[in-house]
Amino acid sequence: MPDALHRYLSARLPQVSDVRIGPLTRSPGGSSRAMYFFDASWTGDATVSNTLALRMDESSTFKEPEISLHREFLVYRALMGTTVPVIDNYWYENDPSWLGQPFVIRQRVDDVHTSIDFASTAEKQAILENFIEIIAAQHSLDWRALGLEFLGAPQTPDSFPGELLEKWVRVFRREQLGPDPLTVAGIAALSRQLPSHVCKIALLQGQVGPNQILWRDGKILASLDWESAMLGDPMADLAYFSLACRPHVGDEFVEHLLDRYSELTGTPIQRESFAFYTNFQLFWASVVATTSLNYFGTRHPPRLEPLRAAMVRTRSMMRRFENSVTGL
Amino acid sequence: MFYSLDSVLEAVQACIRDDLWPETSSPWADRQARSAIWALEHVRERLAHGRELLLSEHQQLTAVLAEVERVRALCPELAAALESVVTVEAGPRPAAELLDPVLEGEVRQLRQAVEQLAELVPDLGGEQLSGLRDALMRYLHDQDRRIESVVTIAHTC
Repeated sequence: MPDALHRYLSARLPQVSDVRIGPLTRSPGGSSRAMYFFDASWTGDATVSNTLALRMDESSTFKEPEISLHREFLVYRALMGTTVPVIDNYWYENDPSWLGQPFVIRQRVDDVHTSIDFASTAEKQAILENFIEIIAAQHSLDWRALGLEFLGAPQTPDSFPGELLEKWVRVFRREQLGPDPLTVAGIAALSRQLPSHVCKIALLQGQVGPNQILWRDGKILASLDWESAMLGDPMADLAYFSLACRPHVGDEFVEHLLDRYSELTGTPIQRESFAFYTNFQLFWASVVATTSLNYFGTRHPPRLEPLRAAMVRTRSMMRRFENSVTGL
Repeated sequence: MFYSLDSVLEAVQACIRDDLWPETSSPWADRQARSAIWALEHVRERLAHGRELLLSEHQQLTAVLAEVERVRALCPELAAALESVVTVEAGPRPAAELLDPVLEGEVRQLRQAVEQLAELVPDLGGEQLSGLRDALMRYLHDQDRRIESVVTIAHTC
């Protein structure tokens, strides 16, 4: 792989010479796509970082059309220079002759935290205060002006919840390997809870949580994971954000963050919609488990990562999903 | 043989945890070691409790479907609502009669029927259907706990 990367960077940076590629190390982060870190050096000037990450296309959970490495790359490019901090994405390559599958090369930022799991309570609160400001800024972006219409707006704002549910039910049915009464009961319940009104359509991250950021000294340097980005109801992002943050900082602080969001955006929290999207995001976790199990069960040789993703990483969300369906 | 399969699995876990893991410097290898230890523990739990959990699920699924039959018999006006739920010939039987392949096959069939019932969840209101709804919800809850019991490992990995 280093040889191919050497040839690739040399082709992409014709103004420099003597390109050298350091050893590649596989990142332990992320469970669906392989990512490698490497350093590069060259003689001459290029507006590209020397510390780089290579993100591969093959995913062990979702696939086209629900996620897309190319779409994610375009979203990153559109966000560069906006009020939403992102890492620089340099190239998307879909010619398989380089590495056998499409890939992206992007900036790598070192000496940062990728999770708030081990932060102090004060640090967690400071980071999440910063995060809600970023989400407010993200939901206030003019997505048309940024050229993000390709993400596909819903037919009407009010049709978004139904279209969202339909899309992910399709994914669930496509990937399901056996009967799953819990998920089916959850879908049936969700289909009767669709909110009737959506106040606006914004750029959503899809699943926005405190383990999808890079932070240092209590400040967020970059917001990560835009592969599920879409245009839709901001309450959907806030519901996932709330689910992901409550175990870290408690209900009261999350309510404070939601109030802060309303203050920054002028958008009140729609409680009916919020309840629907909370249950939807729990259902979505079940779809993650379903797609990961499918990957585990249908690939040869099977790999442990998707099995562990299906059975362990989604466990706390699955427990909450069961609780939301049964009320027990 | 004078040793159990469980002791072999435990030894493999110890080998990964105590011999290989400390020697790894790659974060990715570290993560894979954790996954391997988890998977071996999952296998040990399945070997130790898998049949017992499947029998318990079989019993609960047949109870849910017996409730469907009861509602069909007592409330003909509700029979149409339950039309999509197929009848499965897999009633409760002594555990000894259910060999593993039969048990697995029947549980799959029963789950399929209960999945059809699950599609009707929002319609299972009213007093006449409360017993059926309760049985279904109890099954969904207990099944989640059964799964949890074989995938959640107490020690860190």
